[in-house]
Amino acid sequence: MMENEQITLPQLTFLWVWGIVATGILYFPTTISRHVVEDAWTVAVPFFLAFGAMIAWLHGVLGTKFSRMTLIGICETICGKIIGKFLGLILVLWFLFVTALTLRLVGEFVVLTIMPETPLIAIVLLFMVLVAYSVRHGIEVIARTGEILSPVSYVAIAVVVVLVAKEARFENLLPFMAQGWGPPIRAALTPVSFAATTLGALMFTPSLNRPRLLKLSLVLSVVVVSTAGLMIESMSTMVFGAARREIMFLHFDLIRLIKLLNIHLGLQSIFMTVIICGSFLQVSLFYHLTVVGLRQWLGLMYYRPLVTPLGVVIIALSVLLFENILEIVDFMDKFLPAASLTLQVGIPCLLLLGARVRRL
Amino acid sequence: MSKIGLWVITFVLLATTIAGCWSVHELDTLAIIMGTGLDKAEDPDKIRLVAQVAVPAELGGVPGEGGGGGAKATTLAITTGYTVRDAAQNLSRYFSRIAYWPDMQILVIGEEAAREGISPLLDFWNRQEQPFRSLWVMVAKGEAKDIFAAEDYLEKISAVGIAKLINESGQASLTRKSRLLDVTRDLASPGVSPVLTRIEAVDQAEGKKRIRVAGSAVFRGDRLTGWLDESATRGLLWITGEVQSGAIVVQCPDGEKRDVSLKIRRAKSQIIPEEKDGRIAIRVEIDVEGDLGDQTCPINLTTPEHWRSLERRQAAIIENESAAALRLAQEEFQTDIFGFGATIRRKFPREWEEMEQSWDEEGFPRLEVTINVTSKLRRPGLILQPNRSR
Amino acid sequence: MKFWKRIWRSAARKTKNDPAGGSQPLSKSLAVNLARVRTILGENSDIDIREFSIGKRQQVAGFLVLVDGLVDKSIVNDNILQPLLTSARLVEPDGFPPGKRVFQQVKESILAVGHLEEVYTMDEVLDGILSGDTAIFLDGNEAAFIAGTRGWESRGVQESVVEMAVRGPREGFTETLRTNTSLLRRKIKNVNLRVENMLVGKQTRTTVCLLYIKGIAGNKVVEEVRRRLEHIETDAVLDSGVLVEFIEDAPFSPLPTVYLSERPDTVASKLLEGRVALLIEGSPTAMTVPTVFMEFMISSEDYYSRPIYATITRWLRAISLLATLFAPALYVAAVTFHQEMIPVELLLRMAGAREGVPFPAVLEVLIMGIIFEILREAGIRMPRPIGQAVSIVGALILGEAASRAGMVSNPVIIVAAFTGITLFAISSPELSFSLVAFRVFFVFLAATFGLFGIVTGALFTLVYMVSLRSFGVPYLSPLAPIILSDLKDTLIRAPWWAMLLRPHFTGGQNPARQRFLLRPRPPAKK
Repeated sequence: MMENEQITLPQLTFLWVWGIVATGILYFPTTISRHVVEDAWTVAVPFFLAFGAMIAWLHGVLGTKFSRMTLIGICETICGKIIGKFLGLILVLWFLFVTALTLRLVGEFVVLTIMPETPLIAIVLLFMVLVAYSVRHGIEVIARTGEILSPVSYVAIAVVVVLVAKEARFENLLPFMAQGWGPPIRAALTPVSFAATTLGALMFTPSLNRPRLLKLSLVLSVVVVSTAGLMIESMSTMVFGAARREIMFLHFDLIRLIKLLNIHLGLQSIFMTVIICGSFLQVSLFYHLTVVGLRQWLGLMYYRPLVTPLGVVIIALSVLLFENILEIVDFMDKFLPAASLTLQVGIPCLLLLGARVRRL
Repeated sequence: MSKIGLWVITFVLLATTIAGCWSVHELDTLAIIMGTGLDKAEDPDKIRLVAQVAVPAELGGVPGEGGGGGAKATTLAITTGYTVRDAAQNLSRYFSRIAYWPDMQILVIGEEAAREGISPLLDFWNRQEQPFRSLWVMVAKGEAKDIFAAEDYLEKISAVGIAKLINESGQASLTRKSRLLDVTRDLASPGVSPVLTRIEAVDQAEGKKRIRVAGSAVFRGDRLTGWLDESATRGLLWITGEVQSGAIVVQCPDGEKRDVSLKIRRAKSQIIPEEKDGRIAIRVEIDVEGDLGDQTCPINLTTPEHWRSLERRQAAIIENESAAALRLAQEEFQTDIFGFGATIRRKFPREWEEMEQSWDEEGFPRLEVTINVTSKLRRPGLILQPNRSR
Repeated sequence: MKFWKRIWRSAARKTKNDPAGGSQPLSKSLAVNLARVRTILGENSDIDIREFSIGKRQQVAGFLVLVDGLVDKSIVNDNILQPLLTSARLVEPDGFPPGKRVFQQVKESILAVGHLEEVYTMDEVLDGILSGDTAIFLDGNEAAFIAGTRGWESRGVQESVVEMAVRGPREGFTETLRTNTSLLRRKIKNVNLRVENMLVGKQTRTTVCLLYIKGIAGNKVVEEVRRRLEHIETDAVLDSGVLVEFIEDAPFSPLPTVYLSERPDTVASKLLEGRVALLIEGSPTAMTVPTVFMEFMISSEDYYSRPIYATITRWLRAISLLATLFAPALYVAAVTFHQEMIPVELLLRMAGAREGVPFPAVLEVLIMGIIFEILREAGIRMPRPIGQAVSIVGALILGEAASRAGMVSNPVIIVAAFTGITLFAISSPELSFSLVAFRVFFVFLAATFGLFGIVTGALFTLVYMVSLRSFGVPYLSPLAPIILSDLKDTLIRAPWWAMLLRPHFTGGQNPARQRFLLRPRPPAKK
């Protein structure tokens, strides 16, 4: 299946932009506010950009070096059958977990903001049927859907930021760096741990039309994400000031403020549409990664038989893993960076080292 | 059967069977609440919530029919509860419809309730998923309930009328416009105290009650401590740069007791914290532009000397008003309604940390504030002299 | 599966009978041929068999066969019979010698028709005469002539009713295949315009014309179309609509994956973009493939009006598309889930209008939608004067009275009407009718999941559209995958001088359309 599929570099870039930030638009500001208020924007530009780009570059280097293989294949070539299988399994499980986490994040958002009386499971189920449908069509279809949705969504987010500019007070950004460098860097860890999922892009390297530019494409998606982050973070602080610490979904709250021509335009529905489109891409992407990874790991010919069973597992995980939204935010702030960075920076480093040693 | 067909069937079945209709509320099951008042109830632990509910049958429908008639377009629902949410849910005891909050225009807090702190009263609105942040929040002189008893001149729904009144209050700039967002932001920020719109119901001719929006309510922390009258409010707005428009009445330069009014076109202010003799002081630069509004004295004011003296008089009035507001805040209320603390925090974050603890008690009342007013008159309008000028 | 195949095969075997032996070669003997023609065609009243003999001494016998009504009688009389009976004497004053030479002579010097071919089997003869040609048999030859004498009563070239245009050519295709190909030939006077004939339909023997421009159309696509056409084995193909169902990629798709047009200029421009066109005998509708979604949003008039105006109309069409798809669903979602989307003043009015309406909003919308569709369907098939009455009755009685009676609320009527109007703003009827299915799908989702349902439904549709292909071309190209140079002719219409390249996605060869720097400029100042 995979061999016939072709994705272009812009498609890959768009996909990873959403892969990193779709649900992040909602939750990153929340986790960031835990550490910094005035300097929230510095999280996006120097820190996230630097760390994210470095990690994406690392993954790109690994990917271009073994551009004929997928991630699972790379593990097995470098580390041999047994350790390779083990590493592969860990990575597949990790992406399974990330899929479940992002699915839960979307579900929580929908329940919290627009469907307060609907049970989470119903939302997650409906969303998952959609995602499974797109995953069955393969990465090419997901990538193309991303291509058509991305520009629109990005513009929608930017427009929202422009529209709310009337409420912004620049002085809320001051004082600059009053708490020093520590807190912003600490705050940047959560977004960076999502940026580290670019490791998953190595599952697609064989279907890339120009695998040599993989590095560029991944770094570019980190850059795009950081510009969006800069806009959102600075605008949230400028509008809410110290009150941003109290707010759950900052960007959503920004939109609730917009009053154009003296009426509320129901812009939060547009925003919600953008978020759902974006997280649809995000969940589809991770879901597909998991499915394809498992196919490779099991050595199957087709991935389609795996879609439904894995879907059930993901739904179950997403509902059962966390009790409530506070737990999720706490998890994203405290434990996610450690896990994500160990796996997605540690393993590629190990692999590169192994490749060096074994002169591959 | 084709695959797509199967998928669509799964999808629709899922949607219709599993989903049921959880969050569905048909329009005719809703009680659309236009304004809410919060007072203290007789039971000291409880809050009294007054909701103004629109009666749709009197407002919509086929144009020409219904509407206009004598029936009232709104009705009042009153409940009590330990918290706002509690009181809000208690509405269902009296009301056959589900309370629908998002289109609420105003939130009126009664004087006594405000004296005990407004933070607990605002929590509910910020927590809701609906767009409440541009809701107007105000403090009533007396009880909030009385506000809703008054009628608006034009609007059938008085809450809508009040919202419009506040929205256009920049015309005179005699009250502070306070949205939920502003109040929340001020409450959360160190070195600022919130100031809210003040509203009262006044008796007018024919025994009818009317609304008056004027002056503002001063808070210390989240508790109401006192009121600013109209000119002091404008003094506050001069310093914070929130004056939009309005009239300044000055004495005619010919010395007689005749008045000249100046129309404010533009007002800006800058609050600059400075280090002065080892202590931090504040300099406020107010920059005002105006036009000649009208005159009652019969002299030609467009001569350079008169023009300049008008500008001086304008500056003097602005200075007086600001100084009065400053004096009230520093001496009587001892609360930093201007946000001087916040500006100091931005420029001198280290020094601020020391001052923060006792800012309202010591720092602010002893703060040295200088006010400089630059006043310009730009245009005399379309006539140069009054028609009977000498 | 196997079981069904066997049943089908045994059924197919039974139908394969060929009593007259049509595939056999012709006989040398005239009598045998005549007898065979008689047995095959004899009982038909519209077959004319005219026996004659030519030469001074009438020593060469022959006959001609034609189908009355399909031939142009004047050609048969003046250009075939007349020369055979009279001029033959002038050609060979001494009379024909027997044998092959007569045949050559007749072909070279006697028959005065443009299209003349020799055929050797009865099948070819029958195909010829049933298409309106005349078959001429001469004694002593195992060949017959097929003379082109087609000419029948047909509709003249008129403006297409379905695709109207303010500017641009007025002519539309007719039911006559030859006229249709000639309309295209007149537009593209180029030897590379290839017109291939194929016969489809075991009973009807319908000619299907495959047109493409060699050197521009992609070989793969042409091959694929040819393959799919050859694959068809059915009784009858009466209209292009039938053919479409046999060759399209997604047979169950509600969305059309083959473009249909009645306008020669549209088809010509598609050919020039590297597409393949199919014309079918007896149908005024041409098909072009590969087809992308964007084609349905474009009207041929866009290319004849000013680029800015065309761009604005395209946007209007796009808005109409979105509106007609989502308006009812959004209304349902807004009224039952997300009332905060509605401005207060409007909300109060709408609440007032809904007061006392017994049905839930979904039901209202569905009822009004169904009524609207019925009205439309009734209006289309009615004779024009009655059709108007139907629409007036529908609008007045159902709309005004229903709302006054409190059966439906006023806003629903507005929504239904708006949905209907926007539906008609989309230029392609194939597309606009298929949208109805999606609309109902969205309304259901909106009723259960509100906006979230609409968005998931829309994404579902989008993924489906992205996964569609038409003859190997992704259905949503050039938007997904994005082909930058092809965006010039999608939501915008670039000026003609700027459209340097042909579309890539049609898989054509030779992308260059025109010379660079064709932008008109005022003469340079000296």
